Amino acid sequence: MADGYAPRILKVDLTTREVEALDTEDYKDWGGGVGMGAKLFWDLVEDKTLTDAFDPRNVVSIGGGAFAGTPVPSAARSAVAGLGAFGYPVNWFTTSNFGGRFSAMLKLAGWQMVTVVGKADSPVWIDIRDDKVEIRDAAESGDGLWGLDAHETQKAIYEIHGADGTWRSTGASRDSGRTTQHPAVLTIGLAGENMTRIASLIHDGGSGAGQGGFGGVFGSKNLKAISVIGTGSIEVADAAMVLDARLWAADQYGYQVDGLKSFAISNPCQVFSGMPSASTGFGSPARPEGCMNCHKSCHGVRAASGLGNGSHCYDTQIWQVPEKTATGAVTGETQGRLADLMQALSINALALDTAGFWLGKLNEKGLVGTGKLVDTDIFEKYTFGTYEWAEEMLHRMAEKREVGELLAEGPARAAEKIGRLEEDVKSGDLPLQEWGYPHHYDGRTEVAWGLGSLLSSRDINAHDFNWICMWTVTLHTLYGLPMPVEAEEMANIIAKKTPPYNDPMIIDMSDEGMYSESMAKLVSWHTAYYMYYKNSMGLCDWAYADFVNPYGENLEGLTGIAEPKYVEGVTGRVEPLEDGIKRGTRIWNLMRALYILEGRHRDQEVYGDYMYEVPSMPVPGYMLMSTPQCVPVFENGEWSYKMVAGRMCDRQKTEDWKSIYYEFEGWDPASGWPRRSTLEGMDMGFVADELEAAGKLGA
Amino acid sequence: MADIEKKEATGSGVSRREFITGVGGVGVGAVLGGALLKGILLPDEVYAIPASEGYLLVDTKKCATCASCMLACSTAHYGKASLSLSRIQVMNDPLGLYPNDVAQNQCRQCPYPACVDACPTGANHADPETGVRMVDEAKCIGCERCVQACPFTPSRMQWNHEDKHAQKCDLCKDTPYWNEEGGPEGKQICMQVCPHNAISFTKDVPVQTDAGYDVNLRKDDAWGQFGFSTEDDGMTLSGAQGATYGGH
Amino acid sequence: MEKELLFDSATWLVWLAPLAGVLAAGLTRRRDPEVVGDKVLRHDKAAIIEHWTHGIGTAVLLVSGIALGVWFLPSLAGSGEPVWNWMDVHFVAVVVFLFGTFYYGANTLLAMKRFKEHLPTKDAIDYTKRHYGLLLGFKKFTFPPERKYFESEKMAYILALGATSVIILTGLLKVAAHAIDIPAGLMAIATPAHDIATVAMLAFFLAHVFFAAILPASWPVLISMFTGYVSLKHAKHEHRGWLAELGYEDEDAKSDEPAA
Repeated sequence: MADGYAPRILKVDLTTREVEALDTEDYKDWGGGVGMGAKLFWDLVEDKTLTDAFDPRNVVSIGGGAFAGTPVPSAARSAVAGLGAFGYPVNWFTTSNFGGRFSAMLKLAGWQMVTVVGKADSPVWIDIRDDKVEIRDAAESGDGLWGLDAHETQKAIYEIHGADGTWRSTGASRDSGRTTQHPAVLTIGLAGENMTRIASLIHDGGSGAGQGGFGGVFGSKNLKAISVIGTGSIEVADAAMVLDARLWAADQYGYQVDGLKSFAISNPCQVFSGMPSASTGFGSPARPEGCMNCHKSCHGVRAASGLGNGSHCYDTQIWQVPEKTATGAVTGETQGRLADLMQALSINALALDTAGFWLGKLNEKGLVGTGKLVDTDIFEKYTFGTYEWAEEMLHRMAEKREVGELLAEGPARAAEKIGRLEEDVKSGDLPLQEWGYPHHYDGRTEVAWGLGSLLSSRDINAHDFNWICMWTVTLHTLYGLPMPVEAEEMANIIAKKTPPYNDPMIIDMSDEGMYSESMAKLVSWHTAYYMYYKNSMGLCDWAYADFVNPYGENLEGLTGIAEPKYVEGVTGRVEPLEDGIKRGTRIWNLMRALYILEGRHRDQEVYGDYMYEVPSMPVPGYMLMSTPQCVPVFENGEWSYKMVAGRMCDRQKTEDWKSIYYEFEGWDPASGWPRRSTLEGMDMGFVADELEAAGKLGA
Repeated sequence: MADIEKKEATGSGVSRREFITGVGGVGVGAVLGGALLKGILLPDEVYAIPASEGYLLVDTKKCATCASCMLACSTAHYGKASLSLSRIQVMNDPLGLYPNDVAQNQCRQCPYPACVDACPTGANHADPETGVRMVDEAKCIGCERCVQACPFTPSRMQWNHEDKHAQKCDLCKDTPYWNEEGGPEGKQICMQVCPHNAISFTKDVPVQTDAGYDVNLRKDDAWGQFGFSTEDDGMTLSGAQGATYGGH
Repeated sequence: MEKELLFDSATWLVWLAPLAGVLAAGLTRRRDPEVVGDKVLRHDKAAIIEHWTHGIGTAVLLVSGIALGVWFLPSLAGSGEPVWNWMDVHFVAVVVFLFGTFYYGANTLLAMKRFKEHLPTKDAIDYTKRHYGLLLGFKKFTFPPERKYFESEKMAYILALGATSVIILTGLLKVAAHAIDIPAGLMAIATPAHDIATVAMLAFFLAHVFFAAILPASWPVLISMFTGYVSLKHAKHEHRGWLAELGYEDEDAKSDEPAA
């Protein structure tokens, strides 16, 4: 069927070493990526009370959506879904996401997703070449990949494929597929092999599924890498429409290199219209690196120095404050080398950031040192803030050696082990906002990010309202620059673009708005939008949702117009935005059901204590809490932008809000569990049945 | 009788057998005579192929390897997105070093097109109106002499293994799935879709070297404002466009 | 350097072969079938030459054509040299095939009764039912008085005739395209037609080889395709109608009226 989908889903059972093809048709309703991954998890995991991510019964699915590998702009993200090893206190079903070429290449090979179950009895890697799938020996006895870092592994696989930029055939016939491309590889380094909880999955130079802890899950399955080369093609419903949509979007709303428009501050405020930047070229001649089919290429750079090759954003920034503090300057050398090392070892950057910050705090209290509560010599042997300190810490974490053994468990478990969890989370010395995840964006200020994360199973990392409502407002305020749009206009634009609610009040982040029904609408809409369009269909968090755009007419962005065009062109389905939102809500309810079967109850959905106890203020040394935050508010009958630094969450009001939200979603406020009527209304009676059998159906 | 020698009423007194024998004999003579003449007396054919009226130029130091050009090319020509079926191939080593980690391999619309010369059926030909070297798919017999004949690595002629014919860049002259006019007087989708203007078009025959086709497109737009180098930094591409690679 | 295909360097042979076949037919003296002692002359030397040049040509054309890949089946050969070699094999087989087919065609033009005896008659369905019903073990059927060619064979002949004609016409167009500019629209029809006719030809070929060479009942006739003769005994059982046409009177025969 010409609808953008690859016809089959690859299921690999590592225990039996058997490979099976499932029919994508059975999963298309779920969009792709996370949606399909959740449904696959639902279908393939019998005992859904499972909460040990390292158990061989954990099912991990990886893939993209209908858009990957088509001309739809910024739409080739790859999602990972399964139990994540990082989650605390429970390894909830969770998700992660990475860019690059993987999901597109997988589809070109004829596979929509790859799903891994079981555990191999010795190190293996999966070699996918179109419809030929081989489970290969990754150990010394075979291809010798186990033990190599994430970059070395990929280079070895490129060599196995003979990928040298010339045409090569994937078979013996004149009509066998042929390609000039390098295989797309997803792999782990030492941190994954050693089953740390802080390990990421790495692809190419710097693409990574960082959060969630899936690197360790691969390690627990003895799975070193998945490599895919695809020589086929992806059929779309209306090719001319897809091409027109691409050119329209990029020409009308994307950055024009020969006619730039921007806000006073463009980065990270401009979403779809954002521009490439040489910032991670670290002073060396460079050019940008773009993910498959993206119109922005914001992803990273390839520099002549090779430093930070393909790495990006946070991975190249986390050590800036420590380095500046320790040495007086931020050097490209350090940032680039560190990014490369993190990717090589496959460690989530946030792990280093938080570990460093927290240990620094404990060190100030005299609790760190040889023979002390945190028994380590790292502060004695190395100067905190230098490249050497970070390098040593990363190695120790990957090897589970010395203090690394503690930190490899993730910050929450580490703190719990030494009896510091409650106190340090309460003081904010260990700012774990929810589920053991390091503080990213702030539930005390921009609200929806925190609440969405709380209801989910991890830091949502979905910037739809963050770029425009927090960053744009904060940076233009702090630098005294004119806002692209005033608050009321922003609210109206966003209202226009958020059907079915179309409620401007959803971005009211005032003290009252924080706990309102409009906030419930925002969280509901936001979750549905990113679950479907981004996590499942594959649109990139750095290009969508696009609300305010300097190129747009009346500065309006392309969200609401573009997404339905893409869906229609690729799948043939006429699907207005509100129908996409319904699909997202459906996916969200399936994920909620998984959490609930894993033991979720509203009583657990509580922020780390500092959120209720500590005012949100810039925290020296913690990069993600470095600015006071300004957001749109509706107070005294009018809109404005207000600095809400100093705010805390009110415990009771947050609980009351949760009840409003659960009710809004059609869930039982007593528990946070969906009601049968809600589920059946979405054609999910089968979910209601299983919840009921477990005694966990909302009343 | 086994033999048929009845004289037919042809009026001329020639029997059917005599007629058949005559046709065969004259035919054989004609073919042999023609072959002889062609082999000995006629001069070698003189080739006069018009130059193409358009050429793609690229800037490998700008290319972000997003493969938008490749996916758009295949979609515009075939209605399906594919890297293998793209007529422009961007080779990308994700772990390589700038600038030799990337090669944009566009067809050069060679003034002397070895690929056209190699085609036995005229499937690969120079369009009489525009000079664009392009493949008439219906005429392709799948011998792939054109693929072998292209002097560049990777070959700018490709074998379309799904639809079973040779293919090459036609400057978008024939794009059934794109609503714009192509060809040298029109638009090329790779150029339109490239986010960074790393592909451009010229009507002038480029200097026939690697540098003639991989040019600096970074000076006349905002590229420098992003912090990227607009100079060539004394850096020349080394082998990324073919010399050190094996295979074809 | 890409080697030149025989289709290009020796195109003239493709045009020579059919004309040589026609010439050869003009120069050939035929011998009609007749009973000779306890044997029957079934195929004269001309028939044997026609059959084997056409047949071996067809076989090699099918193998090389399929190796090269038809419109809807991928090639078995790898890119470059293997494809060129198979094209050259195809060329050689084309020459042999064209000679044989046109030799047959011209011979037939000179003796139209030979054509007519290949065409199915009104007994086609009835004889075929009886013949194969009996072969499959249904004892209620009696063996029909088949003529020189079985009615089933004559029906298959129509398929082979059609397929061969399309293959030759489209094939010659494809060869011509190497030398002159044939419109793409015509080639867009010619190649698929050539490939479809190939499948028809393959079907005929496989059935023919099975029924004519593999089925034990046919071995006597297979031998005749080499020696020219079948045994009278075989002819009495399998081709009673044919013997009657030849004027042979069999004292042991049951009275069963063969068709004229």
